[in-house]
Amino acid sequence: MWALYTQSLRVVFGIGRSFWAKAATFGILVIASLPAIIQLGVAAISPEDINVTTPEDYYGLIQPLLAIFCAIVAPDLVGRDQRNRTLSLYFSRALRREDYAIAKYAALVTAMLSITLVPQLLMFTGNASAATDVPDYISDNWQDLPAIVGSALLLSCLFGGIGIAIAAQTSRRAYSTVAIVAVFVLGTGIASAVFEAAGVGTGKYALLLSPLHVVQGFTYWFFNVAPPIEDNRQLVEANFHGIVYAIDAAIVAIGCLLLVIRRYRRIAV
Amino acid sequence: MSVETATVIEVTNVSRWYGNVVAVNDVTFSLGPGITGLLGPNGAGKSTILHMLAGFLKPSAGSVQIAGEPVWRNSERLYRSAGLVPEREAVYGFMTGYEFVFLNAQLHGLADPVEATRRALSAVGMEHAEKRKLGGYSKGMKQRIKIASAIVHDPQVLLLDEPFNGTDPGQRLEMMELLRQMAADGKTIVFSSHILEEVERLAEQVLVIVAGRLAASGDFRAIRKLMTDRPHVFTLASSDNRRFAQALVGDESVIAVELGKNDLTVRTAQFSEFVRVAPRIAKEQQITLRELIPTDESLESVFSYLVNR
Repeated sequence: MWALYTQSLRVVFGIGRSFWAKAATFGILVIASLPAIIQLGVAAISPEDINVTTPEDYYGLIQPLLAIFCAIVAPDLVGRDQRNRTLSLYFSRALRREDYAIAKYAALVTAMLSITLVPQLLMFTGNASAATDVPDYISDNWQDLPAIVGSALLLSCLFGGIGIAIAAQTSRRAYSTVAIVAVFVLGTGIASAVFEAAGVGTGKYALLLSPLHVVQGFTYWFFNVAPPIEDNRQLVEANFHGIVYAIDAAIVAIGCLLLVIRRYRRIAV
Repeated sequence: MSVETATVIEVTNVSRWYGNVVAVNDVTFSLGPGITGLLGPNGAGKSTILHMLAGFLKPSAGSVQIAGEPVWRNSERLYRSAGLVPEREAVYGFMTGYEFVFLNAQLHGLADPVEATRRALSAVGMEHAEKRKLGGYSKGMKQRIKIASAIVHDPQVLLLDEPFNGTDPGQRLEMMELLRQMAADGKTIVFSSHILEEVERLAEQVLVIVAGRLAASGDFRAIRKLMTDRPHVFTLASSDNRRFAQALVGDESVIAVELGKNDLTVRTAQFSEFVRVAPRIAKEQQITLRELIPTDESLESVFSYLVNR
């Protein structure tokens, strides 16, 4: 399973392939890191304590990139094997079909971590090294580290789960890319519309079906920060405890993985 | 060696249907080491049988065992002792031959994947091209790399689905030699083909599959004789068809003669005897034999005879 996992990562990052195979993944990775890089630049040159962004707001800032990255990578990871008919290669090795599904899911989660965890760690490390008193900065902000790792991991599992569950259904890259983007974008739009139409009492449950609302919900909980009302009115009005979003995300992620396993147990090769 | 210990593949009363369509119908056979050809026309059910042997398809009825292990939902154990070369398996064009075989060695969790890769590449004679990308390989080279990846863990059983499709005669000969070598080393090799000549040249044992049924099985020479000694129909043209018909009907190899306007239609149960006798009779009768054409030599007619006999 480890071999399949590492080989899948190789596919995601285009290692050993042409420049264009790497371009999309690394391009998005660089763009997603821009807020962190700008923050670092500002911290390095300005004597003032200026916050371009904060760790808890970072995912909100790069939401579209998270969706696009997932929509590009997931079909590449699983659709390619169906398209090239290489599934028979994997299923005729000492490997269970469940192992295939889990290895692919793990590879997608790892790829998502490169866009969620890496910029956050970059920002933390940069801010720490730009601080006048590095040990002081770390002792004041060390609580951010588990929050950074926890939120990045849960976000990556959620997005990865949704992405791979959709991409595994078809060999056609275009279909799965559009479907993944639609789930993230329309899911948010529909949940917001239902919230407004049905009112807080009933409508708040719709937010639990919107991946982007859920991510915002558990991220503020991880960082132990109340969502600011100006950008998160619906979250504030819904008034769920943050752990509800975290549990919701975990259930969806596990459910998606089970769907993928079921898909590969049944798929004809 | 007893019969029991020699049996490596055991297929018992296996059927497979898709809705109302029966793809494989109550097939039973057992195979030991050596090369076995799965022969039959396109759509006969060869690939379905091979896919059931490979654990890709669940039999609707019956059981399939390899090395004493059930095959279905048991791929982790099955592929420790078996290797598969699927017909349609594509390879990643961006990988080199070495990387592809090495990946397969890793997928099998081998203790020394580097050594296993070297051994497999050497077995198929592909060391010279191991650093080239698979995208630039010929069909025959890809087939060899697929075989190398299937034997990288030194399996006891090798299953190949139409392995000679798309290969040129030279590549075919090389692959046949490779498979013979493996069989000589005690491996059990099963390959499917719809081309009689391929099976004839390679297989010691043959399973003839027609319309999902096992039409014949056993030693290839016995089956070949069965195929040859079935009723054949010839069309003959001579300088005196009526007199030639009279002479032919007296020979034991001839079942029936029909006199046409410009030719004769002769039915015989002894193919090789008749093609030897007919020119001799013509010579004795001082008749010029202008044409002697077998009219039903398509593989399908051979197979349908085996099914209906």
